[in-house]
Amino acid sequence: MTAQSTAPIIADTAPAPRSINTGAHWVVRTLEQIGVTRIFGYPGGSIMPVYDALVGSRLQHILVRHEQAAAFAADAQARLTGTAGVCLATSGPGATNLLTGIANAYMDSVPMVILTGQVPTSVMGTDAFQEIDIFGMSLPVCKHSIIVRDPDRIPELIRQAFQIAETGRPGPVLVDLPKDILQAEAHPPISPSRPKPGPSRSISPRLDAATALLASSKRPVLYIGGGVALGGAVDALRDFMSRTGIPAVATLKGLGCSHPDAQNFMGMLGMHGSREANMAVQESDLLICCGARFDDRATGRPDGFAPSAKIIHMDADSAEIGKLRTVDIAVHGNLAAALYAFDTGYLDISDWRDICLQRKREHAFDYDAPGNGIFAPAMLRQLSEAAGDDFIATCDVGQHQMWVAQHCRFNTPEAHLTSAGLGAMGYGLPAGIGATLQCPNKKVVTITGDGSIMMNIQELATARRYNIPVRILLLDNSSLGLVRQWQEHFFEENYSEIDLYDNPDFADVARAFGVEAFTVHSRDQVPDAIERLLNATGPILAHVLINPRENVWPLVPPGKSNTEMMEN
Amino acid sequence: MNTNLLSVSLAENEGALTRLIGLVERRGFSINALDKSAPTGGESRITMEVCAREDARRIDILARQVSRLLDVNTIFAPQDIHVSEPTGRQSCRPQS
Repeated sequence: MTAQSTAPIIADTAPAPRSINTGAHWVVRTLEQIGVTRIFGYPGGSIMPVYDALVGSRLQHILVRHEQAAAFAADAQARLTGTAGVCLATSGPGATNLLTGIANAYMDSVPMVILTGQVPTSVMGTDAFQEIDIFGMSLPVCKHSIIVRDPDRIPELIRQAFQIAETGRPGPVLVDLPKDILQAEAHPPISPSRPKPGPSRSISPRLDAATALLASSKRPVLYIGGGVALGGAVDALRDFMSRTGIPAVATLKGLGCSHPDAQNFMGMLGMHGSREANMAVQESDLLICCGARFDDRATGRPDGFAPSAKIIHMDADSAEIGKLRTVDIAVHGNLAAALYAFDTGYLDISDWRDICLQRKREHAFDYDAPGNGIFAPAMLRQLSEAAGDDFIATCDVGQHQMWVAQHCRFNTPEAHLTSAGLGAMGYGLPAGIGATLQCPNKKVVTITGDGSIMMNIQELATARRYNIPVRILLLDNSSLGLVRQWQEHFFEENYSEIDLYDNPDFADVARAFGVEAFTVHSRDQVPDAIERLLNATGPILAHVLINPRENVWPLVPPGKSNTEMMEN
Repeated sequence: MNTNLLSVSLAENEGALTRLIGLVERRGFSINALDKSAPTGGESRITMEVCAREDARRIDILARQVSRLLDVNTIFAPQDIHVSEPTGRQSCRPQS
């Protein structure tokens, strides 16, 4: 033995205690100070310092199984709370996997703060391992993006991200955190507590011209969009609707703003809108657009949309006004204030109301379907009625999404979480997880299809891990139904890559994840299935077999005006 | 195709120029000419000659989309472009 070999294996000087003042600790501390209680994420190399600092934190971290699900779950939580949802991922693939979820939040104006790890600043720009310019990639889908280059500025910049995400028109804000910044000692100046969003711009709207236009209108229609809920204007809208009796229609995101049983509510407009809604808009002489943006799925062929209507456009975002339709009167600002202050004067629209109400009665949906098979619209109607005012639907994308919009009853806009602008398959299950965590006492039901569920089916593991009682209603038509419907009608039945005949047995798949599951084959099983689903105390999946030939009606063909509705 | 000048005062933040140029391109305009001043006081002046790729794209809408960017401090409307408000526009902002 040499003297050298007898040297103690452990150095005789104690290792320096791990600092609790690194940038990463300030990330966690700042989130706690802001009042964040839950974050969704997935660890990896560059973000590891934050995961190190999370141990012992008050923050509840929900480990998803794919970063996209972290963004979708944070999105759902944000839609329910009105405050920014938070998701977290590492650099490179972790960050790029978030992008679809970020884009979803951007398209639907959802407040979100996204924290991404990044390679150390010394190697940024050198194609380092797991280096991707997520800052650059995020620019088109974020309200704002920030790279933190000074550890002392971490609290300030994270607070700024929340403030940007939550004020004005909400949206996602990305904060990119290089690893060396996370590991460096930080001594930030003491920050004030979370800045409260100031009262949004109000009021004293001068709506004389709008009042005059309305007074001369014989066939006014109110066109309700997602901006009503974002602007906290649901009560004001309902007040306006009952004060005026003006027939009202809603976009996909506008559902739930009107009371669903309001006599003058005509339902959803657009491609899969109701006949009474589309006809009211097409015949109107004045369209009062409230927090909507003339999206192509709502308008159909733009030059055929409400062709003889003058337009009053009320929106919090001036860049939406006149973007797709020239307006006669623009009201930019706080929607609630504007709606309350809208002096409607004397309206003589009883004939017009009668026409609209008559049409609503004539075109009420028929839930009788031949045979013993499960008619999805009827099942969704029954589900929504059984769940009542506690119902929250988180939808995937496809035929079932449109059936939910048409046949479920939403008493608040927050009861209907759907990927509206982006139309992202895979939203439903992670959103169901986020919504159930946020509202454990509500009846949250994820409504999905056999195509969509496979986009994020790994999140069954998340539901099981935390025993989140998300209720999954999987409507299985063994195909990509909406694409099949389009191929049937617009591509001469030339079916291409829509047949999912070789799907796995979804009940078996769910059980393999440890999730309770059952299969529903026939109509007489539906009431029991709904009851079992709604009364579940842990995650549960109902695998419902429906007719593969069932379509969504009505349908406005692409490129046609909303008067040219196809019906069954 | 009509060309228009768009001139903004831009904060010298990381990515600000990329964000601005990306927005202009993404919203359907090509950039024929671009001038950026050296920064003074943390700001630089960007002047762009832009051309709509489709007739329906309006410079006034682009200007309002640009003005939403957090790095854009001021948007100038030189006389040869018209950053119009929508016809009959009324605002419910408080009148100062």
